Amino acid sequence: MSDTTNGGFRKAMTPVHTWGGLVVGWVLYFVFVTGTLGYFDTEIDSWAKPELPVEDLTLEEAVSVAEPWLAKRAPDADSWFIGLPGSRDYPNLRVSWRYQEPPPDEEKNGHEFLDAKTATPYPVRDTDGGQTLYRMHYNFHYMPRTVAHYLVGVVTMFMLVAIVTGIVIHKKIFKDFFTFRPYKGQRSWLDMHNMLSVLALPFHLMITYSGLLFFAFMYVPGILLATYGNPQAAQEALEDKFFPHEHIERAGEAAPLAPLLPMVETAKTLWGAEQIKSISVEFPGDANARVTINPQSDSVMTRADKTLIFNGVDGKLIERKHFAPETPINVFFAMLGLHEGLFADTALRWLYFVSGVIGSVMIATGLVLWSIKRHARLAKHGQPPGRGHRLVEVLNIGTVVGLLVGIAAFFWANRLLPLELEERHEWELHVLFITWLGMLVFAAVRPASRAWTESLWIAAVAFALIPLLNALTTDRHLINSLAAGDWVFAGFDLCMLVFGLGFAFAAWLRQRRSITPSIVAAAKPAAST
Amino acid sequence: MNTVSSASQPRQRTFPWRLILQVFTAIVGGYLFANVLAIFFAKVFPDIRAYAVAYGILLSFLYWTMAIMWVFAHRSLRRGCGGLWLATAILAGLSWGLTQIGAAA
Repeated sequence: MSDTTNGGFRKAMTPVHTWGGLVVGWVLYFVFVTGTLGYFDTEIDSWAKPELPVEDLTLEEAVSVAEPWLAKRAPDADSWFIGLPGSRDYPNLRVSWRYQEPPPDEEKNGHEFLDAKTATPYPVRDTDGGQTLYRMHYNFHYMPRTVAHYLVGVVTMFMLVAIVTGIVIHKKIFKDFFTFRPYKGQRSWLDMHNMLSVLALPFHLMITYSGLLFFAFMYVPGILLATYGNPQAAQEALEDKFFPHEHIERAGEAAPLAPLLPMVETAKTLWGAEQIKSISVEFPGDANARVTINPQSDSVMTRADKTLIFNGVDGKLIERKHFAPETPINVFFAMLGLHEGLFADTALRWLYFVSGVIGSVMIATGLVLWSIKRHARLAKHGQPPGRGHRLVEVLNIGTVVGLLVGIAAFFWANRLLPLELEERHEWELHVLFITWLGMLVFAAVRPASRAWTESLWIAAVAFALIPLLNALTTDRHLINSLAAGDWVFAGFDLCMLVFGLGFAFAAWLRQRRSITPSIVAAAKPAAST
Repeated sequence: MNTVSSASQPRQRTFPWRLILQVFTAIVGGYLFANVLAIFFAKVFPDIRAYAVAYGILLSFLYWTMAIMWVFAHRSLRRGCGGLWLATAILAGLSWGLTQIGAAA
């Protein structure tokens, strides 16, 4: 280790952190921003579907509406799903049905939100709402899912390396946490980057490592293949060991489905009403029908949740699935559960959200720091920035602020696109990406010193006006939602206002500072690097 | 401590072979190393193979991270890149050997 003494090692890791972070920084920022929004996916869903009222249904009401409705709508489906209202996951009664065989026909699958009073679906606008924003953080868009999953794996590996090397090159991790020197150009950006990185370091590490595990079997298939020879053998060996479960097939014989309400009653006596989240039915109307009642996800081990399984013909509880996973699988499950945070209550959910925001800003400050540092270095030598530097700068402005403007545009599109538009949910996303592209072009054509400020002002207006947009297009505006105690709607509108004000403040800070050109401020030699 | 001044010296315009080799070794070599190390452990512990595989998958991303850092930590290409490729080759050979022993037994 002659050339890897402490200082040498730290110095050697600096370019790995800097350059590794730079090449994937914008994609990572996209993943962090959309993933962070995912912590409020169902809340965004609710806002995106203002047709769905705030309801309070009992389990009995919900089941007695959903069961006959599904029996009429999709009697031959391979599975039904009933999301019972009353939890964060299902604010409204949601039913869905799927066909599996043969061949899978996406068109036939569907879902609806049922109005219990009339036993008919609510007329909901064609939007994918918060779910699509959340899924974009690993599916991206405009590309096959498999490609997206490999791509997200690559950038996540870069992130992991950037975090670990970031810790290594960080000299005074504790002291720097309390160090912020504002209005010092490059030094301030570095302080801010350090502070944000250290502040949520456990979150950054957890979210990045666990992110890799979602598709781990896809990323390192060689380990399975070399050990078991072929994918089938591997799957069988691991399933037998870690996930023992019964495979059910369609019997092909018709048999009426047992009524669901008595099963719900059983679940109620065993768990209590508030613990029941959803019902899934496999092969309704078949002799091998199975009914599963799923509990609320209130532990990090969501994937090991106990479920109640009933025989779908005689309605008897056939198995109280008690699944106790073994240690390595526990690690998997705990990591995936931590990543998704489905178990989080309101306070913890906000902590997740804030951590995600910190992660996003950490990436953004890292990107900005790269730019400022090089501009300062060039300015010192009296050289103009090269094409590469300019490209980074444009991508920084157009993505760090531009992506957020795109997301605001997505919300605008949700309210403004005509309801009868074909593929309306796709157009909401087209609007997002077109706006983002527009912001990139804007960043490219404006001088850098102006582009930041102006982009921030655009973001401020785009977000701050959303409550007004909501008031003009629905009757669930801020005054009404506050009066009705509708915290999902009120919270969304208030968040948009806060974001708008935040961007306005940032723009104002920028404007005030750009009286002295930012390059000069940035060129002040850094104390140490 | 003076990274700023050293980095601002005029850049060499030669083709960056060294960097390309390092990046290739870190990404491809590191990936192979991580896989082979996990496979090796699964071969060493045939009695608890499923556990070894599950832990191997969990840890492979950390092996990969360590390999990447190893490559860039060494000024000497022989140590950094060569060391990683050598370790990968040795682990692959041992894993292959253990497979033969396992098949014979």
